[in-house]
Amino acid sequence: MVQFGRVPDVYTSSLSGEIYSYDAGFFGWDGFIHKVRLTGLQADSRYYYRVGDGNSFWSAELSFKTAPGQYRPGLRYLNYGDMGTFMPFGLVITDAMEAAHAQKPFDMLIHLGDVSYAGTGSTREWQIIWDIWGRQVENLASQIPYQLTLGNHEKYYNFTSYKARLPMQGEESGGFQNYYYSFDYGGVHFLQTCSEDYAAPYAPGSVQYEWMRQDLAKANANRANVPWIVVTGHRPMYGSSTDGAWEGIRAVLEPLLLEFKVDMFLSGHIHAYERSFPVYDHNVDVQADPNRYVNPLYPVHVQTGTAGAAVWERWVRPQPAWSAFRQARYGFSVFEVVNTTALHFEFYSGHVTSEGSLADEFWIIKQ
Amino acid sequence: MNLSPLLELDHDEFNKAFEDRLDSPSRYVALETPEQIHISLTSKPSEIVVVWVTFGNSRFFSRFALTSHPV
Repeated sequence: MVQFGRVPDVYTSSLSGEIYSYDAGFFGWDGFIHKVRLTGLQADSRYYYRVGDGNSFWSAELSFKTAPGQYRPGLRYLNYGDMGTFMPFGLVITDAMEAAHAQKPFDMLIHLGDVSYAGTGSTREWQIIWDIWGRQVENLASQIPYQLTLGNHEKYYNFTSYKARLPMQGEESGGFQNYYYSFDYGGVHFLQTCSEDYAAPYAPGSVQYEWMRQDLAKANANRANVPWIVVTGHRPMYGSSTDGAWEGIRAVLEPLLLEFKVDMFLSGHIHAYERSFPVYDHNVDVQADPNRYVNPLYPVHVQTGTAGAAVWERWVRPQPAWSAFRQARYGFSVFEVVNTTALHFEFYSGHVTSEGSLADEFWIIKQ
Repeated sequence: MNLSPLLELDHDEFNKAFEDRLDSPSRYVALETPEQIHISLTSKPSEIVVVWVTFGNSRFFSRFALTSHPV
């Protein structure tokens, strides 16, 4: 049961939902998942809530703010991929993000795939790792919407744990569960793709491809109300790590990004940070200021696979012409929709011998 | 923000900090106590989905042992 209301400690409404479980992995899993949909809320409003059994056991009081429902400037979107728990630094980056949230709150969070790293080897997971990760992110995830992009490390038992623990409302946007889906938040239309072809094929003619095309066409026609379009996928289509980029995804998805004037593509998978210039088919839209993209002709690509899983520094040298900035350090990204024509992006990073700091920033300006 | 305090610990210190975190009193709670709470969006701004985990009384000892000694 969830009790909630507009005033702290005053719960004017309560709702119940479903309880379910699953069993997978070493030693199985003996927990229960509770899922409740709160309805009838006012948009852009803060609510206070607690969850529990309706009798003796309750959480502490928590709060969230509902989605704006329409364009609103100044919203901040936290985004990162490839987190994990304690091997090595997921909990450390989580602490850093909580500190940043306390200083200047985030409004929404996108995890760009590779969530808990519960999998060991190629076939089995430890469910306890999922539990540790769930506790690790709870302080943030119970306050701001936690939206998921599916990654390859969620693959175990046909994504059983990922689907059970982190349900998203894919069907409401014509997508599929928490594999691929879309939603609007403030001034941004987000389209979360599934870059794992074996889970959801994305080639032209596939269900996912046709949905992406229709969804982006609709979003592009709605710019007056939602001025920005951001697409996410776990695997990058541009990356200058020696581990490469995914040309198969680029061949399929990049023409759609161009056709429907997508502003930015966010990814993880490579455990480093890299930001492109506006680019299409490896052709760069050369800008006078390398950190200020004015009326970019092409989308900007950013990978932030740095939220805790082991960072590696394996760059192709020399740095490709399309690559504006790259850094192999732990950290997280945040972007702010300043207004209908300006978006500001930042990457904060730290290292074992230095304090975390602003490592990269850029603007997208549409005049 | 400061990423350094835990990052600068040596291996033993890091492990102790991690175990202290798991061994905090809040970890030893009744198994019906909600944990791992998160929220997510629907297509409507008038809605929020709330998800959490409880453990009930099943497999009490195995679960406690794993929680106390995750590695």
